[in-house]
Amino acid sequence: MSHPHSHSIYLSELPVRKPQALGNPLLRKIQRACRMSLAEPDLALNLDIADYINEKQGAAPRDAAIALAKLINNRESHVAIFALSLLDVLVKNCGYPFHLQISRKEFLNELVKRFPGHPPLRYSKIQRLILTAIEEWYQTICKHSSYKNDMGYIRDMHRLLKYKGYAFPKISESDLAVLKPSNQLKTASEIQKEQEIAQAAKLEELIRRGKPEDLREANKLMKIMAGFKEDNAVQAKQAISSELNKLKRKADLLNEMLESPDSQNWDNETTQELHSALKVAQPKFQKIIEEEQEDDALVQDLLKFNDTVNQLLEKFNLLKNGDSNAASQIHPSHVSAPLQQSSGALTNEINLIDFNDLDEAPSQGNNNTNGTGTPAAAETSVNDLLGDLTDLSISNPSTANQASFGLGGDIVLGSSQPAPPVTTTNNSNNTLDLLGLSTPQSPTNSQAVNSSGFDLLMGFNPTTGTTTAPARTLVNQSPNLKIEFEISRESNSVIRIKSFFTNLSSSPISNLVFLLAVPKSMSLKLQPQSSNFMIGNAKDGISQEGTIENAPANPSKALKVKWKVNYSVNSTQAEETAVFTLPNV
Amino acid sequence: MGNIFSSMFDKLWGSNKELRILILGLDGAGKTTILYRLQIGEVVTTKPTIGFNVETLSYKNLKLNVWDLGGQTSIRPYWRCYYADTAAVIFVVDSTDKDRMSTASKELHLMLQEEELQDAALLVFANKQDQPGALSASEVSKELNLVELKDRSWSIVASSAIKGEGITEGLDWLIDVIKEEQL
Repeated sequence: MSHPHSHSIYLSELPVRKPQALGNPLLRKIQRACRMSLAEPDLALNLDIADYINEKQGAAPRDAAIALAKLINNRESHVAIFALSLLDVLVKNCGYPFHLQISRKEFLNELVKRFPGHPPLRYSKIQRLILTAIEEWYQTICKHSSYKNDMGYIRDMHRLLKYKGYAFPKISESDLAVLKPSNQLKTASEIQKEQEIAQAAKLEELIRRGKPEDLREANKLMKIMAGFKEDNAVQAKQAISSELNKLKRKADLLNEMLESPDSQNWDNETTQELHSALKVAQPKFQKIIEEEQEDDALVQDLLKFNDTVNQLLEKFNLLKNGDSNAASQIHPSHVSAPLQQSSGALTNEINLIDFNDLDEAPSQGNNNTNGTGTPAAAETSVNDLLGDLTDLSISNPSTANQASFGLGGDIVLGSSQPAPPVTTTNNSNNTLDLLGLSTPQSPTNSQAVNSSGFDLLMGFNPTTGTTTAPARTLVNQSPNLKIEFEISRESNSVIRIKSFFTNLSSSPISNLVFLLAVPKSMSLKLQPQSSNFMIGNAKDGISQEGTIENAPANPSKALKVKWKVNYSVNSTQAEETAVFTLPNV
Repeated sequence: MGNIFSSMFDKLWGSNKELRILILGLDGAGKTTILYRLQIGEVVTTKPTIGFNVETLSYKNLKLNVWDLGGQTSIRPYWRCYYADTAAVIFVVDSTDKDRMSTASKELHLMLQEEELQDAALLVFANKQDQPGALSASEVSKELNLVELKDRSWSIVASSAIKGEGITEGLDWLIDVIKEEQL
């Protein structure tokens, strides 16, 4: 039994320092994806980075956006081109959490940092790629996404560049199609998972901004996310209802076209699209029925609609195979609701991802290059000066880099640093509640006092009869550390020990580990230490309780224990050990 | 000359830095009571926190942004949205709530595995010591398996937010650790 205790004396020493951080894996991947030695963009690595961001979430979208904006401004054009290629992949694969980051003022300002105030005679390749990216975002996530109101600064930057005279390249429809929202039927759980990811990203951004209105918005969003308001569930149901109504209108359209006397209607492009939309959506019906089986009306409606879709698909196949006689025997029923009712349902939908920047009016940009505004010129000078000052920072280079992010270019949206959080509170002082809470405390307290007295009497009577507090015994004192024991007898066979550690040096002591061994005939039980760190000159900074069992009351030989303590002080690992004789108790 | 200037600059920089501190723990542990005990020094009547409370405190020449997050089951998954740039976590435990000690331990260790908190110091308050049947700080420490935390400075303090006991001692420790390790 006592063998483990003697063995524990020789446990390997703890590391002197906390292990060094391995560095941010995301930033390392991004650096690899943009290194100069690549012959062309590494698409597999870019997609791996997108997967990493989607899995990790949290600060990953923001870290990636900041890193890429800097690489896009790298003096080596290869690096900038690879960074823009990776940016394109992330925008197309990471969704709202990343879109929220590229729509930030600071990111957009950094993106166009090297753009001159007047457009150059001929664009560099990098300028052309940046203008292409902004144009793509402007025509897709700024216009069609369900959260376009969060993308206002992209719209503002697009407008500002156009005002300055920059021309945007034409974007092909196929390139735009990738970023347009896909109108697919989704189950409630799929919708809610997307909601959760988007709302978590938005919550983090609101917390980071930290203005009073942002924090109020964040608190509202927390109520929704935690389910205290049923907005998320309601929105999911509305989304399903909306998509089903669209599908029903498509079904009716397909029905009319297949009923037409024109025998070739099944073969035109519109009919093919309607057919594939219904075919793709049908497997979702079963999933929705499984998830929503408590909603009888929805289930019945879906089962009926499913029958109609089955008939339409069969009719389509018969016509395709040339069997118009058999096809004419199938008469699917009309399924869509009147348009007014549908539009009514649509107008009830609430976009919960919106948040307003009402207190930050979008900037029209500074008119420095027009030479008309002294205040604007002064503002630019102030921005440049701030950038210069932060670059001078010596103690914290990474913070300086962060501080200068988004400042210093010729084309700038009005820049604002995040404000410190301001007081918001959910509490109210309620005197009635306070009185209600305080009244029951009294009887409980008196019971506690009685119980305590009883314990004291029990504790003292059978043993020594003395009422003095247990005395402390000095165990060891070195230049750095003093160890004291407070020893008392708990019963005829149990001794209680409380250890106290005092830091005698003016430097902090950290990673303190204390080990104790007792003779084999006895059993030692130690509670965990109260801490492993002490500030300089801390008295009783760390304490630890324990008991020694099978310790007789009047031993013929004095009880000896062996102790060992390891700790770090002034970046030096220290170890002290000795044998200590316990006084008789 | 350069060294002297650099040293002065470091000190100035450190003393102006704002520190972000999160108060976490299961519902009903006393998080909001501790926040306002720190801010105004009084016990306020609280109701369950849905969302968060945030206050700015000045303490020992440091500016602290202290965030008190709701502890109910449905809110805990979103604690992670608040982890960025956190200097320290104060984890509050209801020492009388023996039935949920394992839940508190699980939530604590799950939270500390987050990469964004790897450099954060940990202060645990074994709260409600004024109540009968409260576990001692060392018993709470054992229930929470705090000795498993190898790569982090941590401490546990017995406290009663209602009586105001233990709170400033714990915060003093926390500030000293942050000054030593992060400033």
